[in-house]
Amino acid sequence: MKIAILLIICSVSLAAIFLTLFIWWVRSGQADDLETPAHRMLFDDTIKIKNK
Amino acid sequence: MAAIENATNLICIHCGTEISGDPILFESNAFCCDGCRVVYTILNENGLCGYYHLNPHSGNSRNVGKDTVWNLAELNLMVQNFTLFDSADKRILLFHIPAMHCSSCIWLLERLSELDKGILDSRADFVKKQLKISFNPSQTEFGKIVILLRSIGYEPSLMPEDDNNLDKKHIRNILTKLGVAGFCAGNIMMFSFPQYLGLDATHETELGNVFNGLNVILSIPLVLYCGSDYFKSIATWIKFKTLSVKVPLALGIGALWVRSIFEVTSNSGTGYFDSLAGLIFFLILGSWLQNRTFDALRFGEKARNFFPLVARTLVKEKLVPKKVIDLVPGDRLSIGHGEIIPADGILMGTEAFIDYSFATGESVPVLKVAGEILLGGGKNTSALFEMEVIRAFDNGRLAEIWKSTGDSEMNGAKVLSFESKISKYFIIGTIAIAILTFIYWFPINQERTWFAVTAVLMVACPCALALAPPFAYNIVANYMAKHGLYLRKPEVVGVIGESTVIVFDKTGTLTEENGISARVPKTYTLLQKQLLYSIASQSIHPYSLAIAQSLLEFSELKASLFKEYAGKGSFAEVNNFTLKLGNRDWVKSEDSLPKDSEKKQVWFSMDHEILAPIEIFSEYHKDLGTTLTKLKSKGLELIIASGDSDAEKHTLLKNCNYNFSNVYFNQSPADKVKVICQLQKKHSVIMVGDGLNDAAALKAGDVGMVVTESTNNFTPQADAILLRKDFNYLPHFISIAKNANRIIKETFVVSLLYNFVAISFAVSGNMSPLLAAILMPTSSIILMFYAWSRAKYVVYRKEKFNP
Repeated sequence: MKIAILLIICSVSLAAIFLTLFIWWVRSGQADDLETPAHRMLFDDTIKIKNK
Repeated sequence: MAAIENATNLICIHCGTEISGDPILFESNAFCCDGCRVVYTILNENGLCGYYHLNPHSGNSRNVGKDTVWNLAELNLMVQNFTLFDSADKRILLFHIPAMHCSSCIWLLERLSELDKGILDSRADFVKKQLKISFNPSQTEFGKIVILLRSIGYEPSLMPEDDNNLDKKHIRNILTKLGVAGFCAGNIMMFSFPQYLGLDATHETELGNVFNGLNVILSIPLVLYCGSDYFKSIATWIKFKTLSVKVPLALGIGALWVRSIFEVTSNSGTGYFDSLAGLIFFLILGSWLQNRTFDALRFGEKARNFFPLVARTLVKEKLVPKKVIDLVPGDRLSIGHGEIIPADGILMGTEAFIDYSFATGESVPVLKVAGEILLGGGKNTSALFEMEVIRAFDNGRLAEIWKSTGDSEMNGAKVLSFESKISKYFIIGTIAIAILTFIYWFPINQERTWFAVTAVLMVACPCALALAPPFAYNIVANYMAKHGLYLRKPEVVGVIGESTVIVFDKTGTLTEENGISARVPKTYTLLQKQLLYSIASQSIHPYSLAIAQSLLEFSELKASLFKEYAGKGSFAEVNNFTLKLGNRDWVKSEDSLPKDSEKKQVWFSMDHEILAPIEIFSEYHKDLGTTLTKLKSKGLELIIASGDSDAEKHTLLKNCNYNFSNVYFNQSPADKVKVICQLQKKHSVIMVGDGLNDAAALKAGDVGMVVTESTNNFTPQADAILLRKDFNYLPHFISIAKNANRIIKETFVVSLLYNFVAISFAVSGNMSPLLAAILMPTSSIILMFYAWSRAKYVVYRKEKFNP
């Protein structure tokens, strides 16, 4: 039974770490704009194209 | 890329517009106009043609007339209004770019540094249509950046942007709360799970104690942090006597929590932590949904946004730009066609037509002659004129109208939807039952009293009222946004559904955007029409423009002589005919002409022979009659409150088949507010208007709805923005809002029944803890699911049967 208690406390602490990460994610402003980065990541960085 | 796709159907390679006339050819690509070609050339020279590869024809058509084009020096004066951050080697600007519409736009706008080396970085926010630019002030300047943006087809709107920090904070707060609530609720549910399986004995064992202990610990941030808003509402209730649905919820949450902790510490049970956690999590989820506003909309609140930032002053016959806030009496201004008069002043030299629709609601431009006073806010619809400022900007009359509408603090309190109305009775009922329970049990069994009273508070918690609306309203608000009605907040759906009266402003609301059109009498011959067109197209007088607009199919004959007389009309000689077009006294040769003062008329004479007058009238929305009839059939009362003169009344009533319960004309903004306040004694009122002159009325109405061309327009105090082209959907929107309210009432009835049964158990003190623990979270989930699926179904049916 003791080991079960230990495991429970471990899992709750692990979840708490993820919660902290989530809060950091929100507070750092990464959640402010969820649309534009989705487009941005599809652009190639270096295309220089001249139409003929 | 294929330059010419189809010989018969040429499409502009830049903007995708079908080319109607001769295409402009450049490097074997076809363009619809020179503007598009220039943008293409700039991009091509800088190797930015990837723009066209992401999305074909991603440009914006440049083939549109622009009002004012500010030059470099004038633009540089505006820099402060757009600056977020300023230091010696870096300056950050925030622009609103209405033209941003696809991923190509993001691509190009974030590569501005390749077009101007002084730009360090640019970041686009697609949803808000904002662009943040940082640049080095020693290498480039504000004006150059604006001109660059303009030259590639992304003219920024030169109204200052609010970098809504408060909003951002609020959204971040809610997201954080959602995270914390999710974490706590998830874990608490896990620890409470053994109970559901009947493994109740766990609380006797060591493991059970750990579970209970963890539940207590996890519930602390859950209640005190995530639920803090609800407890704050009790404070505002005591302070301001304003009841919201949050108050009974706070009582319920408090009772649940205190009792659960008591049970665990006294070892008499496991408490109701799971119900508590589920309730708070769903509440936060709902408020997060409710706060997802439509970012791209400008719900501007300042009259200042409507005024130009810079004016052109005349100093020693030279144009010198000056900030509008720095204008002083005595400054001479030059106001071009389409510009807005920034301050009160006196007209110099010529005559001018001023469109005061923003201030008075009258759509037909007013003629002003030299020496007359011009009020700030009017729009110049004639040629360039000069004026002298007599009052500085802040004392302008419009600013005063604006101030008189009061502060925006009241806005929150005005929305009184079904849920807030009912929550008043709910809380009174709950507290009354709790007190009665207390009185009944206290003399009999003191231990049981405590048990029964908390049970009543717990069970009577109006979950349905708090959980159903966010889901139902959000779905309906999204449907509305898809079809052209944007709401400031989803809750507005509820108020729209409750409304029984719609008050319309006339100008710009029931009319088409251009406002006026002319009706040329049928008795005119073809030659007469052609001559009329020839003289009318010479002048930029609004009436002339309207006449020319109605005769577009005719070609212009060359006038050998053309003269315009201020305040009278114009004179021309065309093909040896002597033509006069103007007001009655100017055209007439004798006094025998019939006078019809009820109508606005323009008279036309050919070789001194006077023809039938041309009528000028407001042009109404195409489907106005049918739309209004439909609204009427939904049981709504329709009322007009317009700033127009009585002359309009007849045409208006003819256009809408006499559908109005009441029609008020000659209404000043203050009169409109009075009309609405009068109605509000018995009804919920939707005020439909178009802008600044209605600001006070829009605010007074339970819902202020602004009809506009685009969502970028200045929209003061509005709760909702309706696109003009979707005006005929209005009856739809009303009926779907009514449906949404019905859904909420249904969930309310269901939860009332449920509560009734549960309370009768609770009052008797017989509620088994296990039963309560299972029933309460399930009822929340069922109610939420019910509201969600019903709203989805209603929207689905609307989409299918009324596209």
